[in-house]
Amino acid sequence: MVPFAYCYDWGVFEEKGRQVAMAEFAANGVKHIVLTSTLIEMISGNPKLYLKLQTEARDAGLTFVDSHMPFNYETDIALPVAEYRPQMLARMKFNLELIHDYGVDTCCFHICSHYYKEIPMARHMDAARSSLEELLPVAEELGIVICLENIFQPCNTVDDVLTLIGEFPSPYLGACFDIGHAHLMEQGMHVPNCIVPTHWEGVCPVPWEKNVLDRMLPHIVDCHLHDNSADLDTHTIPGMGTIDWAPAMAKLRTAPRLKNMQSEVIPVRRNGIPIRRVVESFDRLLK
Amino acid sequence: MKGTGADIPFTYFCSFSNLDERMRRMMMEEFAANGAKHLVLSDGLFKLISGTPKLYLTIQNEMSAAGLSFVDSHAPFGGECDPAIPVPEYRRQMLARLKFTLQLACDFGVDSCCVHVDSTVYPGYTLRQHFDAARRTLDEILPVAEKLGVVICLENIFKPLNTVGEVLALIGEFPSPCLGACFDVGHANIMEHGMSSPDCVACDRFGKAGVPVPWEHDALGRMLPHIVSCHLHDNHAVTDDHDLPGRGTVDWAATFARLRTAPRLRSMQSEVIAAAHAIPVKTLVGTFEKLRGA
Repeated sequence: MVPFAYCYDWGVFEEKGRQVAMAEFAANGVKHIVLTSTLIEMISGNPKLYLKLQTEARDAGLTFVDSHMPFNYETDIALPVAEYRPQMLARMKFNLELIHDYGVDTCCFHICSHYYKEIPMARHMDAARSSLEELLPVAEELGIVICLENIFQPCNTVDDVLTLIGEFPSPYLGACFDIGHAHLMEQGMHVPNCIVPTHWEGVCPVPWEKNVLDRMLPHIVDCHLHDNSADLDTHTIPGMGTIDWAPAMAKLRTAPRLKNMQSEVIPVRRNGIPIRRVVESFDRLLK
Repeated sequence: MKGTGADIPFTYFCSFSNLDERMRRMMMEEFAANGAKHLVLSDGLFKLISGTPKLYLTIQNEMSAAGLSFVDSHAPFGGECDPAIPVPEYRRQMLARLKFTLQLACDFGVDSCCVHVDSTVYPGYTLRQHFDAARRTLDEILPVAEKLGVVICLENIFKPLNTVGEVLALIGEFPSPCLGACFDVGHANIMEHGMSSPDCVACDRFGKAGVPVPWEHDALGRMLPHIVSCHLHDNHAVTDDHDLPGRGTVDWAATFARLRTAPRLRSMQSEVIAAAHAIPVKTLVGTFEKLRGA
């Protein structure tokens, strides 16, 4: 059984609240939490947290497993604007060092969170290639696997993820399978008010997907587990949406490169779900 | 315009860390309305941009909208981010952070960056080990600064590893147009005149490291050939007040006259912490304009 880690919306807490939430996870039997994009941004913006967060997690009996690179706003690998790229690359190298120092060996990357509609898709993908050429050697040196995530937005489809993985064969490049995003791209065409088409307006028709898990399976290193009803990206607990969890979990466990699993339920900001309910929902799934 | 004399850009430190977006824009407008042209890309702003990626463009746009520009900068310090950090397992993140900071400075159009040699003395390591660590950091960081065209300015402080002697030693060991000094007049005042007060902050800082205070003489004269940027603020040689000129014991007329002759000087900076002393922007800018003879 691979380690199971929990994501949490740490950004809503002050220091004391953060410590209480860590203790709450531990009291519910959790061993691992995710070094989230928010935590990485907090450490980046506040050097004192570099050691403090490590101490807080250790005091709560938790370790960090898996991580998520900050995304959006001139921080994605597919950033095609030449003058913004050096800071993006320097930021990512700095963040990979932090991730390594926190004892984490996988990091989920969005290929592209902010798509520049005035710039062709091919240039975004070329920018992503150029970024991987520079970042992969750093990841290899640090022993961190960069995991590209499937998302319901341009440049983040399963095809895009698999194309880049195919072009850079390395044990330090793999896939992050996001089950909620796969559900939106597989079932969203049948659901009124699905959020997906709005992300493709002015780009191209939505390239709805099939068999996402099967296609990504050989390359999956980490995964994001959360539910939705194929309309919005709600990041809720399993059972609150329309994902068929049993076959998905059975198949996911056979992924040959899988290093860890992650609850990417967003309990506070999006769903108002107590930690105990989040943990219980995954305990049931993992039995 | 860079050079000596009255045309040297003058910049103002403003603590934006605790301001929300609207107040940040207001403060920028306030400085502009009072005739300021430049603000400091401060350690607080670096932290904001590092921690909130969307501010990378937002802050550039806000400054531009207010008609202001950044001229000099101050790297984040303390908390495992100083060049002299000797603990091997913390050094890689420090180096990556410093490189990221220099890249941001370059992107923001800034060509000098003040760096503290050290803010924390780590138990279990000698001062010499800290200083050797600072050397190793400069070995790795200076080529980056040279590539980006940013001058690293080492600041004199009233703490071990940051004395004028140590700043000048490092500058002497790494002769490069991209390494120079940041002359802090308030810190110099403490190290030159603090010996008459037992409560002087220098006694505390050196006492904690277990070494006597190496009181200094004529810090400005010794640093003058290497000064690229400077921090201007006042105190009574006891605590590091960062107060308005005239509210302490610094001899401002003499200081300005000599500073202007510094051959490498690129900018002058008010490092008055106005918020801590409830100093209006109008008073702050007006005080420095009088001193500069503007």
